[in-house]
Amino acid sequence: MVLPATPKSWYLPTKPHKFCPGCGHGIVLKALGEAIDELGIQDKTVFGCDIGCSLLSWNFFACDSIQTHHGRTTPVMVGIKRARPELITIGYMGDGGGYSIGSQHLLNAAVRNEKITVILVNNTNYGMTGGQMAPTTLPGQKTETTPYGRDPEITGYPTKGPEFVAALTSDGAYVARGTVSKYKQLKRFIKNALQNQIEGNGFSFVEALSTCPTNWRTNAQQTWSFLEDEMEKYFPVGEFKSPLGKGEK
Amino acid sequence: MEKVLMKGNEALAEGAIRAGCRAYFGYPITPSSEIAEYMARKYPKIGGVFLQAESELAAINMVYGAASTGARVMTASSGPGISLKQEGISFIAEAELPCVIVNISRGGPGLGGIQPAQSDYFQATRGGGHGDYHTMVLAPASVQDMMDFAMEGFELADKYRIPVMIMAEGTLGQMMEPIILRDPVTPGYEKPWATTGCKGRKPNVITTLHLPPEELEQRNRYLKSKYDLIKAREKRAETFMTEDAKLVLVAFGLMSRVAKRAVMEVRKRGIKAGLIRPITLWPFPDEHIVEAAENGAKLFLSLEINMGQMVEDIKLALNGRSRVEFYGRIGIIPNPEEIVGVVMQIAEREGL
Repeated sequence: MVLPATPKSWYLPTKPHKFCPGCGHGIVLKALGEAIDELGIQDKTVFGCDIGCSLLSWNFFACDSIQTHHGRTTPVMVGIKRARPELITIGYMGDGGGYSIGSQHLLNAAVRNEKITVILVNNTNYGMTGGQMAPTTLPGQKTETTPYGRDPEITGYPTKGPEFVAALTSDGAYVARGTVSKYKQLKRFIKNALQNQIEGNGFSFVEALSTCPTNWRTNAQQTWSFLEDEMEKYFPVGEFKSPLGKGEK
Repeated sequence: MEKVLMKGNEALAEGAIRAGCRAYFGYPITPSSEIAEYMARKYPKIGGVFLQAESELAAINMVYGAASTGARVMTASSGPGISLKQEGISFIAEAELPCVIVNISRGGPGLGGIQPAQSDYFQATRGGGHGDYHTMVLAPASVQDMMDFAMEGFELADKYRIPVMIMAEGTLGQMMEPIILRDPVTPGYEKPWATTGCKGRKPNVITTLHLPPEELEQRNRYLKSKYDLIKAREKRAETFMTEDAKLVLVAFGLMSRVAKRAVMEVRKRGIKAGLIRPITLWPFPDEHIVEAAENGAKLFLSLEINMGQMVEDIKLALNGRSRVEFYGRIGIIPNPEEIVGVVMQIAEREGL
């Protein structure tokens, strides 16, 4: 049997990984792993993961790693970077951690243009806790806590993360939204976000649109269609801000 | 040796710098803010990192991050801010990251007031956040202690890989006293566990997740064994005239200074009183209490600036061996005369 090539920076004893079949996390983490390999930063990277499904990545890489929770990954990475500026710090979190319970941290790290990289996975729900509403749940989308569909009159409209991060950051920040349906582009964005930290330009943020068939209760076709037809329509993919040359739309 | 006049909060901050602490993350709150302000003034000149965080939550998590790299790091706050930090302290305790957390305490609950209090005793000595854990807690009683305990705090934190809390009443942070400046130390602890990039070694992982029940229990047993070791080695207290005392006052922090004056006064009046001043609030110096009881102390009087918290630890230490009473104020530190009055009343009643 021929196994697919795995990034050198992956920690193989924990593979195959523990994400659900059809989950997009594995794709995002593969893109991140390849980006780490290509930039040659494995031995100076500290990878921090949040709570929720993103926590399942805590022993994913053969890099120094630290577990945190509830969006605190951002200030933890800030603490590491401020104490040891020579390290490359990558915070990995979900939409709940970044946009809801830890939003103060994302917002203020963006304002301070902290020289860290944050990768946030948007799958429109709280996966680990069983599929409740997330800040990114689409209007009308059914979740365990919006059983009749999300009503923006009651819970507002979905958070558009890269848009607000782009608005808050100053020069030097890198902000993009990719999707697991466009792997090469997503990997390019993640690599840019790391390159931007290596160059010490400013805050680097990538939101990755991702899939959650388990909680969406969708088959393969429906899963992909929700990602490409619903999510990508609501959450435009592209670079919002880049000091690395012309932004990509 | 030459003495300098310093404010408690500044002496503590200077002590941290002399201990090699080069990272400080905090959020302003009265009466602790001078610690942050001192670091903000000093660090740019000596290559330290000062960052005013967006919140107490952010500050403690920045401490978590910086401590994970092996750096000596500190944060300070007061009552309500310390409550906000508890989530992070639980993680730091479980991840076994050394750091110093300062509570320049005020009275609660809620916003309470900014007057001196020891109301956070339970919070400080029982872990404070979720899960089975302890932080070490040091209680200074003078501005000199503020400097010395800051330095000692970092040593203990590194030695046991534990967050160390320094808890001082707001008054102690605000008042000035002449102190001897201690010589700076070079931190001498190897930290092979730190997340500093895995060049030339296996990757380090800092984890607080233990899903398999056996692993979780094993982890908690391990932490308990560490806490037992600290209990065996690090209980500290100052005793004053306890050898022949029939009545022993127990007081920590500033209150211990008032109590000491009261003991000297009632001794003049023929009352055999003594004082035990816990220096470590956790581990609580229960053996000092028991020893005083064995020496003939009939009654212990817990003096606190709260409504009665440490009194429970004294009772636990004595386990019924001697009687324990309590006298407390809050927001107001009683003067020695007030304590003398309380002691004389008890002495008369008990025929001491």
